[in-house]
Amino acid sequence: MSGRRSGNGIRGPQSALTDFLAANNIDANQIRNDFVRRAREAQLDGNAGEGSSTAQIDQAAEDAVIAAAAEIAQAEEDEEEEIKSAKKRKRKEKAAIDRIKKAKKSKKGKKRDPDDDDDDDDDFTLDSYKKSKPAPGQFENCELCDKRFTVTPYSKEGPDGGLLCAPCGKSFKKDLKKEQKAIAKKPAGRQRRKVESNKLDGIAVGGAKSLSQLCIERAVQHHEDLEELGDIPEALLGRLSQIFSKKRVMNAKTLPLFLRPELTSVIVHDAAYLNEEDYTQIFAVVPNMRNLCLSNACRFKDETMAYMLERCKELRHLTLYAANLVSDSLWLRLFTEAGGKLETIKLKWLDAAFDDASVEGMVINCPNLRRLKLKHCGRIGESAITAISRLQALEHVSLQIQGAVSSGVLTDLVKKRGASLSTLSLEGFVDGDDDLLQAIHDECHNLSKLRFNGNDLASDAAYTALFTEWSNPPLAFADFSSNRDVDNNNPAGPDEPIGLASNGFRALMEHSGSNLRHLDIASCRHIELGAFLDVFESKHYPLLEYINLSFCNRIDTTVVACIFKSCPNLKQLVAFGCFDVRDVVVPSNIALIGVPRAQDAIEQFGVGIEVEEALLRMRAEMET
Amino acid sequence: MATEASDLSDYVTLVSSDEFSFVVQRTAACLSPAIKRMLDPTNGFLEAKMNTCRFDNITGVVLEQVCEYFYYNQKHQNSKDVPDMDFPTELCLEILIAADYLGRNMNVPIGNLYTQNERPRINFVTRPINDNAIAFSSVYDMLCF
Repeated sequence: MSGRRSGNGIRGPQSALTDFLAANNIDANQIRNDFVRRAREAQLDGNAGEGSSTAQIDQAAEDAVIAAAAEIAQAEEDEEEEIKSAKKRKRKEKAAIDRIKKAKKSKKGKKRDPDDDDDDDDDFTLDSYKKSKPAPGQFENCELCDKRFTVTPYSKEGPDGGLLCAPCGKSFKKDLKKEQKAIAKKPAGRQRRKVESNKLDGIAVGGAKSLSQLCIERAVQHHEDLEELGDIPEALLGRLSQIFSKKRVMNAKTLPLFLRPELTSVIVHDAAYLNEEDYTQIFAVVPNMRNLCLSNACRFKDETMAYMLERCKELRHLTLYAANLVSDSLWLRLFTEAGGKLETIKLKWLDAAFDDASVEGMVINCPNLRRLKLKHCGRIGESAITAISRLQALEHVSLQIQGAVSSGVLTDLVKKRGASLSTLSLEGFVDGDDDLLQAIHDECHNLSKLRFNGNDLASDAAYTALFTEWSNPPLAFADFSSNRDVDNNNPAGPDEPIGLASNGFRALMEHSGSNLRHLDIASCRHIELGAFLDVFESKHYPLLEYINLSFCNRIDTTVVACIFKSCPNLKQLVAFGCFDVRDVVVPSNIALIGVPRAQDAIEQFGVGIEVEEALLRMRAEMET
Repeated sequence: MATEASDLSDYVTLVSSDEFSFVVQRTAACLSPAIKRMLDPTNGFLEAKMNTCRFDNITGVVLEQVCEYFYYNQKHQNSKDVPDMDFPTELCLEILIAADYLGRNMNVPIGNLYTQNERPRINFVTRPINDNAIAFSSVYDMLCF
């Protein structure tokens, strides 16, 4: 304090006492000056009446005071008044010091053991090398803005150890927090994984994220502070709902954000945290919904279903995943009461209820059903498929059934419904055989999406026949993954190839290449290198965006290069387990995923290189 | 009014509902398909003639962030692992709505539309620029749906 006042700015070590006194606005210089002034006054009065000074030998007056006092110690008792006033002053000072000491002690005592008094003193000496701080109630100049302000116990410390006024302190604290946040970054591993995950999700396909993506992410981050979403378009609401589900923050508190009376759809992809009251709220607030989607609806009960039937009379599209607390009788009631209007039913992960009889009830009561998906429903079997084949209006059907289903039942379904189907997805039907593929060839003339995977019975010849001179327009979506022979003793498969092999693949691309967007032939390991080269070399697939070639182990770098060249619209190429693919230079806007080089990221990702340049570089690398 | 020079100008003006103007590079602003369409002279909208886009549903503070994003995006166009852009959290939802408005993909086939005054049939793709050009924003919703 004194240093600042004198303005020299130089400060060396000072005694604890000086520091303490300075902290309490007691200044040794000032005391000495006062003393000298008084001495002079006394001498002027003609009396050496500085007896008071003897009493004044206290902590504050240092050597100078002692010397001065020694000189004039003889004379005393004349100036009674002076002594009195000096004593008064001294008493006052002492009282003030005691008060402060006490206050300090009691403050410290709160934090630690009141017994260890010496500790206080230790702190005292340590602190003595620091800048002293004014006590609450005193004035200080703000370190940043230089304004004079009253010190309070809450005054913040500035960057150089001084104190800050209230507004500066606030902003400084804010900045400090921000800095700390920036410093405390997530561990590198997690950050890298996050980047990879974003790319695999297709969120960051080179360059910056989209503005709406940034906003949505920020909204989820601050989901607890959100009060309402306002008049957000329904499409955006769906997007937000997706992200809320992904981050697992869709709960009783956030759910109301997505409920507005005028909405026509309620989409909750993760309803695991919702309980009965939340469901009731959904149906109470949005009675006019036409589209309801609840995934992980593990607490969706019979009563909930009953209330839904009572409230929502306009329901057209129903997606319920994992609603295992709904009993068979309520499923039946759903179909009898709401079936007439239902156009879409998607059910997954049901194993406690929903059996063949329920499917039968659905078929009888839902004549307008156009879209049906049944997956992982443990209690349904062949007779359910037989029943489904009687649904007259069916256009999209996706089936996955745990138990054994004979090929005949499936063939029958295709024969009856095939003509009107535009989506046919048969997942993991191991017993599907050549007859089934033949039926698809004969009956289906409208398909745009065809999935037939996880099969090791149908032969390559059947696939070839399916796609040869097929009256169906080119497919947009083709998934024939895991159609291959499984025999550990003969990994190359029999001479007459089983599953989608070279000829079948050629026929598929010949038939659908012009319109194909999504191609999945993972694990079709009997497709030879020659077939890949035939298909991708000097051909053109203008719409193809996604290709999965994982574990097609005949593929090499040339094929990948040809794919880059022949598919101008390609976004993702998945190639796990293709060990002959090496040193690929990936063009911009394409993500190559899974090419094995352990030290690299899982995904290789093009930055600012056009296809031509990438190919040139690859060729150069190969030659060297 | 619409000279060749103005059509080719490097900068365009975006005006917010509360009359804040932002002059941004054409290349950056055309990141938004909506703005690109507005400013495309072949579409003959008022915006293309004036080289100015007015947004009656976007306020100045939000439009400022949007413009910032245009440049942020341009800067990071060819880079990897881009850091997220920072923006005030309280504007999050407003920016989201604006981003949706400006970014909605509008590859919808364009039908014939009517102006408010004379209601003649106008084909927006082939219609030549004239003084009766109407503002893109006035027909935006019709174009989108």
